[in-house]
Amino acid sequence: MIPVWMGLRVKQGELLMTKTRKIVYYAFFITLATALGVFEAMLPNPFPLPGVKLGLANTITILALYLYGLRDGLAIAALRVLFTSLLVGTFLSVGFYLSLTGAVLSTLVMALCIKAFPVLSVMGVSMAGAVTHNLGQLVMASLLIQTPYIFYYLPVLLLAGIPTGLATGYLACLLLPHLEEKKPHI
Amino acid sequence: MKKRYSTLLVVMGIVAVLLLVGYPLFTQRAILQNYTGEEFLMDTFVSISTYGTDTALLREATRQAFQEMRRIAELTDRFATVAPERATGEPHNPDKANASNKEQAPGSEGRDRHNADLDTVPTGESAVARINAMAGIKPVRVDKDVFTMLQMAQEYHQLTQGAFDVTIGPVMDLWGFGQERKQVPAPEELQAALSLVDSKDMILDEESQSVFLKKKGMSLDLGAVAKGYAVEKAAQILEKAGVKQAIINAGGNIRVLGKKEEQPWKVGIQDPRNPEALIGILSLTDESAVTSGDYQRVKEIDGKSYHHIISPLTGYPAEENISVTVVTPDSGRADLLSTALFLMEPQQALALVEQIPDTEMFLVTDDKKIFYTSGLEGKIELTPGEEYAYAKKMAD
Amino acid sequence: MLMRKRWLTKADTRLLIAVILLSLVAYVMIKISAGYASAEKQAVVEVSGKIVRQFDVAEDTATRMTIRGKTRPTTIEVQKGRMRVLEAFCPDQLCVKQGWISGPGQSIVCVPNELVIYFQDNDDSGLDGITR
Repeated sequence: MIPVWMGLRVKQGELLMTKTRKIVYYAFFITLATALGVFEAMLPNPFPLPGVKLGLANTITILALYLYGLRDGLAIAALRVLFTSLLVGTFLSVGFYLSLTGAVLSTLVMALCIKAFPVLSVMGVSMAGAVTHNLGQLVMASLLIQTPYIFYYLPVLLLAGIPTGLATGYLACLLLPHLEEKKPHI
Repeated sequence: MKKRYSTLLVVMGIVAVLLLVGYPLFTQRAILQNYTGEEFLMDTFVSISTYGTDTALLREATRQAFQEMRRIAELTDRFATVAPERATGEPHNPDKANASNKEQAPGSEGRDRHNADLDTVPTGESAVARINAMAGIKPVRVDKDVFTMLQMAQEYHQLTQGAFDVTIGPVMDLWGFGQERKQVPAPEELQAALSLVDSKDMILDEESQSVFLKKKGMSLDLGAVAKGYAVEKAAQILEKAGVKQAIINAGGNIRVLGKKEEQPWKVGIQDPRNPEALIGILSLTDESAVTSGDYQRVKEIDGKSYHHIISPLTGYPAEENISVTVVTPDSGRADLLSTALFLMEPQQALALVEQIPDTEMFLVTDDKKIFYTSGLEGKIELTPGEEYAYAKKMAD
Repeated sequence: MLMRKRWLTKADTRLLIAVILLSLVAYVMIKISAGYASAEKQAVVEVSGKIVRQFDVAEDTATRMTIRGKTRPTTIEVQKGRMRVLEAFCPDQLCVKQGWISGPGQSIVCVPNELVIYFQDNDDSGLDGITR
């Protein structure tokens, strides 16, 4: 049985085959994003600061946003964080809540950029997303650990968002044109 | 069938989101809040800083504490007299006032009704002003707090062998502290005033809770004890209201409740010769620290400075010490003792403090020697400038 | 390598510059609020938002302490006016890898242990009041 929420964006009267395609793409994205997340978690981190990470899985979020819009992008991002944390073993830990806040906030901000600032290319959007991701994590961390002193990391994290954002954006650039033509039209 | 399923999913979704978001919020310990109130009382800036998890409680407790401090301030302000009564010269009727509701010692109600020899404090006038006005005339029945303060003053007058005396009013008036006199009093004037200074001529009657200054012209000055006493009452009010961590700072008169956050409160002692520097840092828990210094209120007359801590024995500002800090749980006692010990010789002061339980002292003499009692070990971090030298510390 | 006419649009570049400026402003503000570094520093250790240790750090202070973090004990080392996290039982060891911090404006955070170590700002140097 097909859960209804998956079909939310499908208009009435659509062929079942289109729905299936959509579901398959969804699953594909979520799985790939999770895989990237787990992979990244296994990499040795050259930067010792909390919150500085490559954010490879964010590439998928960007793709989803461009292809399907905010609602799907948000769902895929949130589910990605959830599954990654389950697999890595950080579910419900402090790090999990940080990731979740960062991912949700950055997805929202990126969607806003796509809609309201079309002058920004994919690179710009993903940079905005990366910076927001770090900022959101910092704010959440200061709330959970109840200390303002974590904001001493602010300048570094803001700067770090630039290269990671650009890297993620570059990857998205590579993939987007290929997917555009193949995505199921609604 | 489909509809029901979808609503179920939506509900489950919302519940899941709520759980995921609510979990960290509910498992948080409540964040410690701070509520600070500030007022100008007794010629000083008073700040009451409370910490706790219930802001409404902190706010209410602080309000009550200030109310109490205002009450004590009104009772002890020797310059608060009722202007209209003085103008008409018509005395208020003590018998009528006697019959009104006043805090009294139990069992004495019947006696007072017949005791027309007792004056009471009219509204608008401070208890101290009334006592002074009735010097040599008749006893005045006063508030329990004023009576307690005077009992304490009497006790320490004896302990310090006269070095501390609240009947120093006449001498203080000559020097003009609190008013605008700009002259050094003549020796004859001081002698005359000193003859009116003697706590033994202050009669305290516990049964009627009254105070009588025997000689006309005598007057009380509670400046050395009123602030500390008010702060102590405020601290008691905070405690009763449920506040567990607080710091009261009334122009340098400090009283702390509990600890700051697992750590004692850190209170610096001002360097008497350098307003920017500290001579020591105290670690306080549930106690008070009050300092008397020769730099607090100074009058400049003809190029010489005279400070406000006048010795009841000589009539002149005390010269031996420049700063005395007393650490003890009760702030009223701390305030009183800091003045009393300031007026004594260092060795005498040390000897006296060792006799009083739970009380420690930090003293700086005129030639910049530091003495402190052994009880301050572990509570104090010394940070004096180069010109200070350590003298002996007294062992217990 | 992907062939593009222009890697970043004008808007992208503006955003990039804006982020750099923002981080500079943040850095300056932090340094200002942290005050100038003086000879006397006070180090603070917080766990879950509450101060559990507070002590002075001079040039010759050399000490090690073990603090109970939220989950595991953590060891902090102080030497030559600086401090670092020596040993921590957290999965990513980021706190250890950060090395030494030496003054106000710097901090080390161990997220899983909810532990923060930093140097106290100089404006109040931790005093709650002055008796005078």
